[in-house]
Amino acid sequence: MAKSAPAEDSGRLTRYADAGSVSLADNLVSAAAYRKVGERYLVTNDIGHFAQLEPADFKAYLSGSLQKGGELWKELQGKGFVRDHLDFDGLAEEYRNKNNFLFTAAPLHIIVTTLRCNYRCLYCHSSVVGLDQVDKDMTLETAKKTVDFIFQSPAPTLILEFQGGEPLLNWPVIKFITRYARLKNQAAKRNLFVTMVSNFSLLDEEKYAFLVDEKIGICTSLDGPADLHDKNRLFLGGSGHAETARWLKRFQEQAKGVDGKKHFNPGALLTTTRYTFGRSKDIVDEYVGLGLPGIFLRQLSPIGFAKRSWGKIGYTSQEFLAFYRETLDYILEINRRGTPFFERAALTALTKILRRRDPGYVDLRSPSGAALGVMAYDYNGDVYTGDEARMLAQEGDRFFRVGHVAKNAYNDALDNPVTKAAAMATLLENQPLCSQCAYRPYCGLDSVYNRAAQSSLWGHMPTNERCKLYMGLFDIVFEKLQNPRDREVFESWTREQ
Amino acid sequence: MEFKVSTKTGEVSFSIQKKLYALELVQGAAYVLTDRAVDYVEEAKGRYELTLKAKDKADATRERLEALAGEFVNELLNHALRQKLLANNRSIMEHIISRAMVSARRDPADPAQPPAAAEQELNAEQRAEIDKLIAEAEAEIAARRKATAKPDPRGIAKTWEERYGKERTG
Repeated sequence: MAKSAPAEDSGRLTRYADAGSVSLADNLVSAAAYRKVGERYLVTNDIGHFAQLEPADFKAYLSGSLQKGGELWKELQGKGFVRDHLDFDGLAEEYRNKNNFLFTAAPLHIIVTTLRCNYRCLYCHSSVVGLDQVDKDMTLETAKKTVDFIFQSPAPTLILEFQGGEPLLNWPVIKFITRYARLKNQAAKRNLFVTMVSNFSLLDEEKYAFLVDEKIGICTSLDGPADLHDKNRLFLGGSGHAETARWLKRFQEQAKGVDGKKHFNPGALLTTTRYTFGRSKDIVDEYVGLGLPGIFLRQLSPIGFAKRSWGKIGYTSQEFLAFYRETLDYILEINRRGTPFFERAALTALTKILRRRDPGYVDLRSPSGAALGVMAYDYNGDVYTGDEARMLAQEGDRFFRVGHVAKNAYNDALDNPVTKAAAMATLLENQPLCSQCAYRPYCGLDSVYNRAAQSSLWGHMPTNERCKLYMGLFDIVFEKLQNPRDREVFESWTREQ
Repeated sequence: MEFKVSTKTGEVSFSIQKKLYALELVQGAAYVLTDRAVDYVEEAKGRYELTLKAKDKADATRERLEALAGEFVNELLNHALRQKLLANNRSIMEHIISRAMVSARRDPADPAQPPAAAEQELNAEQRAEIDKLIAEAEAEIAARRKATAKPDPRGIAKTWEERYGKERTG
């Protein structure tokens, strides 16, 4: 096993020392990109296949001197890396599976039922408002028009996700939208899912029963043990951690089928701040202790309160990657000790890498999911290309507003020049650095991030922190895939999805 | 290859033969280094004149400027190899974008698309049920507005400003 160089030290496009002297075997080498990971060369293609070759094998592959019919030749041929031996039908089918999001409309529709919140999280991206501002609640009229707008989408699957603010502060509208959407779906005949992201602080028995009865999927933020969680997530009513943990356990129990009502497993995600560093073990133990199946180590975005408090809680991509590597190492260790537990960012990458399937993560695809994979609806009916786009508007930049539920039709939002520009700017083949990157089959750009951080939809990848972060993350994943014990754990995660 | 170094201006200059490398490759290699250098490309007879100006003053030493130029040349070779390896993706790109756009739109003429369930597509019973839902929600909202005047022992209905006296940021 070759020991890899630290991911955070790797260049954007690593170089092949013999690039100037190798004679490419045009008829044998298929379209591919390469990157040095550890001591091996990773090669990838548009279908999403990969191979990690020893330097001598890489040179033999490029120059066409691999033994035809040999083990490695067969592996590369089966993966579409040998040009004169391509299985067009099979590869086309694989491409379609990998990029199935290209063949359907946006399934994810984020509804902001209120901007009010009873938390003041240090990193809040939503720029929430105080509890007295009830004029920042979505009205019933807007709620109804929002659902009507969403059902204009031709997507066979629709996911309505309540967000805020704290969505439970506008509970009657949540109930109305859920029931109205279910009723409407009797005629619309979609696969309809309703989910909610909440801090749980306003949950009570009545609301809990409704969420279970209506099979509303639940996700919350859990930033680790009580001291860390409460430091990041300030709750006006005291410690938020106890309530979050209590309801998480309750939903966990419900997922096993209490009173004959089986609910979805609750989800939880962690937002990484500077305070998170050095707490990898505590955090993972907290999640495992609560019976959660995995964790999502989410990085901060330079939007909302997070942008304003960046000096206090922010960090560089290198610092995040060091934390990520440390936490992933611990997660792999507990998996090897017999506790199945996944990390969501790695799992998203692995679903693309090992299964060549789209995991439905709209922030990591080409073109980006802006309006094509997700739409966000503000409390006042404004339509945005995604939730971060809507958050940016809260900061005063309404660039990504592509319509209004009462004034526009669904197709108007797609015909909006901003939707098209975001798609063009995030198509990796259109980006000078991304177009040659070995991680192109698995990666994706975010034009909202680019605009917020670099004042451009296109961004500038050589200095783009998000690019640096994902490149480092993919480096870590591919490095670990070279280790059979780690690969075994990764394989088990993707099998269970 | 000869590198002309000026530690005073923090620049390194050199030329690339046109017959060996297309402008597209030169620009591509230059782009990769834009995190560390400002790149100037000029066209002359039979060659491109390159000047790389270090962004960081610490890089304005002879050794580092020559290393930067060497890195550019290595990147140029890799760029040429990568370009050859990758197929020309323009037609694929156009196809992908148009495919994504077409799939995302509602097409009333497409019988395969599911119905939008607009008002007129719902039956009388369903419309009556919707009216009932709206009435219930309106009553609940009115009741909640009244209830906000009630005591709040845990203080969770208090605003940040009321509790801590700081200026509202939202």
